[in-house]
Amino acid sequence: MIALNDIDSIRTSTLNPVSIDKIYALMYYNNLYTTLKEQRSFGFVSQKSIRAIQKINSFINLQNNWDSYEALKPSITSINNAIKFIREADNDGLEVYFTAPGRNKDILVEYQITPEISAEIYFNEDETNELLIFGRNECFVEGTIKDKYYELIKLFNDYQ
Amino acid sequence: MIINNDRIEILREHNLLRRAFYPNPPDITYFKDDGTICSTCFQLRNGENGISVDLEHLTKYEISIKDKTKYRLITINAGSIHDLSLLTEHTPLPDNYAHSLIKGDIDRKKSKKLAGLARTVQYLS
Repeated sequence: MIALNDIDSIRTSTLNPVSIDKIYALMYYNNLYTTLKEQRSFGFVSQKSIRAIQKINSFINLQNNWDSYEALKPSITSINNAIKFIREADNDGLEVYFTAPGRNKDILVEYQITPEISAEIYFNEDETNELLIFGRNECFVEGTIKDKYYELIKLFNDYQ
Repeated sequence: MIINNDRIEILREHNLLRRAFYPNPPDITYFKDDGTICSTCFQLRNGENGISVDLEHLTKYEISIKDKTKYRLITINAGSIHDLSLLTEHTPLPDNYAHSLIKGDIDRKKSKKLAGLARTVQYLS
């Protein structure tokens, strides 16, 4: 992106002087490109992920005993970490399949790789997380996001 | 078979009922779009010594469901629970004779399997 105070130096430093219109055009496209890049990096997420984020945000309205079996209401920490992850994973092409509150203040975020293969990620109140990948309900990958996320991405890419 | 204090032995052919969160509208629910049930329905809460269920033949759907505007009933066979190396125990409560527990090492993987075995009860009041 070109700063305003760079305009004069651009005009005077070139052997073939550039018109002010061209400089403004360059600035416009530069700004537009930067904006799009930032949206992709920080704010642009798929509709599925946006719906999942909205749904997770609504979990805050649950009260203790929401399941009639004394489940605890989801914690703000779990909610925030789940949303942060969904945004980041969306950039890798992962779209949320399902999400639900856990019974211990945690949040479940589920991704479906194929109808038989799915990944469950749990965001716990104590800031820990768990990532499990299942094939027909049999777990074949278990760990944390830090340790196993690449396996999820690899599986996702293999089946796309 | 009565064990003691009016507790009965849970046999393989018995079925167990559990309420699954399904409010109206179902924006937050245990049910996925394909009708399957999510693992957290069978997640053990910290401090619990088992997953609460009702023995199907000792209750009625309209009693077990408590509030049909918030929950659906799901059923799971005791034999299939035993096959996961989990135990079932009839643990009557003063206000619920059918109350029972699924006990054992119920981790994330077992919760997933229990959810996979559960079926929605087609119940109409």
